[in-house]
Amino acid sequence: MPVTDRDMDLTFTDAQIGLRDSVARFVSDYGISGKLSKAHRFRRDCWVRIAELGWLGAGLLESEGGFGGGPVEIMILLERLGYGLMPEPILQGVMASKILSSINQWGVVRDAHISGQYIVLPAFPRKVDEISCTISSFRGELHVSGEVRAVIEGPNADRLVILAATDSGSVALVCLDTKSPQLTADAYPSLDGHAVANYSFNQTPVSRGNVCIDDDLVRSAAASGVQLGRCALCAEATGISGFLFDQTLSYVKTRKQFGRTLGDFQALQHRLADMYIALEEARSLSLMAAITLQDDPIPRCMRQISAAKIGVLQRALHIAREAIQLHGGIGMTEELPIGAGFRRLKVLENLMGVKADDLQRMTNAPAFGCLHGVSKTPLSSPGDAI
Amino acid sequence: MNISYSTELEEFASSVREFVNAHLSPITKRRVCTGQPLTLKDQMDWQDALARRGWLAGFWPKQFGGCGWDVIHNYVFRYETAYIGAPRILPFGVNYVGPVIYNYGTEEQKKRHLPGITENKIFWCQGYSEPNAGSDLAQLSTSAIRGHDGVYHVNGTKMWTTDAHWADWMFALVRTDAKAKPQKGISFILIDMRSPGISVKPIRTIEGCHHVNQVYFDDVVVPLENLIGEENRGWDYAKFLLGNERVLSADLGKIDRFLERLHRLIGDAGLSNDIRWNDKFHELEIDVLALKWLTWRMLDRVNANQTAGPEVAMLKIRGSELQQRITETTFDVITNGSVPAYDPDLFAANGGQDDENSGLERMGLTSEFLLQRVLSIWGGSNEIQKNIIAKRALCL
Repeated sequence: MPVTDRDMDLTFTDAQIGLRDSVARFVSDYGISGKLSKAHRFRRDCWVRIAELGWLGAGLLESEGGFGGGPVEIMILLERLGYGLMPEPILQGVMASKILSSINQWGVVRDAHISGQYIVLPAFPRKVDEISCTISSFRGELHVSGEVRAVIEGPNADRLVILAATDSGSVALVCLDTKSPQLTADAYPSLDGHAVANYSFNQTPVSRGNVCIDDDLVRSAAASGVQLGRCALCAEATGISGFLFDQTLSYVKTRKQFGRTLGDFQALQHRLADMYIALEEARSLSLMAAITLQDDPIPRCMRQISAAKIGVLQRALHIAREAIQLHGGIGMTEELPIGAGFRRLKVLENLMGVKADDLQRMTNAPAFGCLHGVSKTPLSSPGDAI
Repeated sequence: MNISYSTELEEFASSVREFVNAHLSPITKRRVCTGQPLTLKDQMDWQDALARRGWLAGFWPKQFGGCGWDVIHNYVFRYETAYIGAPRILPFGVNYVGPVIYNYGTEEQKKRHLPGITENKIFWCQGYSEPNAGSDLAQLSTSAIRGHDGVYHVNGTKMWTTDAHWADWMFALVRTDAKAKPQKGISFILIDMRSPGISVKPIRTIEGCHHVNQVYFDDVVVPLENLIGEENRGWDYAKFLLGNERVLSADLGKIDRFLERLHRLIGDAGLSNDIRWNDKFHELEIDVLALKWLTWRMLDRVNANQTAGPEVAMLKIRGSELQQRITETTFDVITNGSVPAYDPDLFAANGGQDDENSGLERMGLTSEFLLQRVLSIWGGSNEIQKNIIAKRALCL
């Protein structure tokens, strides 16, 4: 946290403002620009460009191979990318950066990912404690078996990071080449225009250097990746909401019916005001998630990150439904990107757990407390942390 | 006071159910019940079967090819067919242009156009909305100028024209007097969709399918015999709705089918004992019950007085909201933490074949959820419906 002599300083530093403006400029070139074409899909060259700008390392300290940032930088990055409805899965990309940076022996893969040389994506189950892969040793060689479903942009990944249970019951982290033998990918297009794959591993061979079997380290790396991913998700949803709100505000200021602009009607003014409140609350919850992750160790921050995910998505979806409605007929067409924003938000609502999962985490989490929700009561086991 | 059907009405309901079970293709029924887009054949085969039975325009007066059903019989027909999973009857001929023609048309026009509707031989589309005339329909500017050649020359464009790409004829509101007050310069005309100068451009909606279009008119010739009623009185004819029709706008048969489907899917997902899903379901159920009894009270009033007051607008508002909420909850339960697959081109690829396919069915439920967002926009947006309630029911 930057040192200031003010209490409660929520202003961005110059570096953070610089990051925000750079991403905004990038998005004005590469993002959705009013007309959604079928071609607005993952672009490898765009991913590489994002990597070259250093942004896959935006949430990592220099010692971790990044540029000295943390969750707030990730929030800034994903919010702007969300505003442009960018199809590149940077949310998953920054998760991968975080996970890779937690494993010392994986420095080479980490650097290759951050530089854009390889695309590494996490392939975790929806509930990280329901691990569906195993890793075992046979004649001195390691093999992975099992499945992971719904890996976003898996078909465009070079490496996947998966969790696998060992014979002794501990959890391993495995970095797999997507071109490995005995690995099959069943790909399908998702509702929000991604290429998604369900993976099956049938004794897929993996070298020891690509496996980490330190159970505590693995759980901690996975947890930090997942919590960062959830913050990034809140930020992306907030960015999409901001875009949909701006589009709607602009529309009601220009569209005329009954001799005046839609924005002249008080009933609609109130609805725009409600959307604006929802947007500002979403931004606030997103900030809360980022700062809580920055300041409080896992598992203490989890209650608020869960609260943020539920709260942001609820508001974002309200904004999206209103955006369609207030645009009238044209909001129902693919001529505008409103529908695309709505579809993306419904996918985000289901990613990394559903509302019930987060409500349960809030119920199980440390007791409801003061300003940060920080509790003095530790959780019972490290496995609860994910 | 009671809500039970008389013996006669129960027999009628029973005969409707028997008819649907005998004549609705299982493929069409599956598509309807899983929210998939229908092919032209799905729609037409069903309507042909109804036409042969004389039920396509059952509420029309007998002299025009209907059965003269009163509002209660019409309600029962609509409820039973929608509940089982029959496609909705396309309203353009049966509910819109047909009644306008038999109320305001000449004998020649009735003879020429009504049988085509009741026999399902002619496919109609509706030319009302324009890019600058949505809720404010009176601003429409597609013009019909009477030339020295004694015919109308139509120029302009119509928007959101459902199924124009399948249509034989269009009924349209056009401007015949640009100098009069907007509502006083509009005429109701019939246009042959095969006329030279008409072009139809498809519009893709947010579920990725093609139902609506923009239609362009470039000096389209329309003979004067296609004018309905008097020139410049078109707005009055268009506003003439079978008020009784609007009392059916809650679409209860469809809502009950949606609710039961949701209940089943919650069970299929292993969530029957999950208290959060139970709460969510029961909240929807409560709101459905409120809408159902509200509809019955209004139906009863219409049946007694034969007129529907402006308060029936409530049924469209609540009916549309409930269909949206139930279909979104349905999408949520089948998705429940996964990344939903979606490729709308697969619907078209499968059209016409027996396509029992659970992947396609899940996509259908996704498609239906997205498309239901239109219910609060079309047919007079919910905002307009609230204006009607405020101004005409509450006199604000």
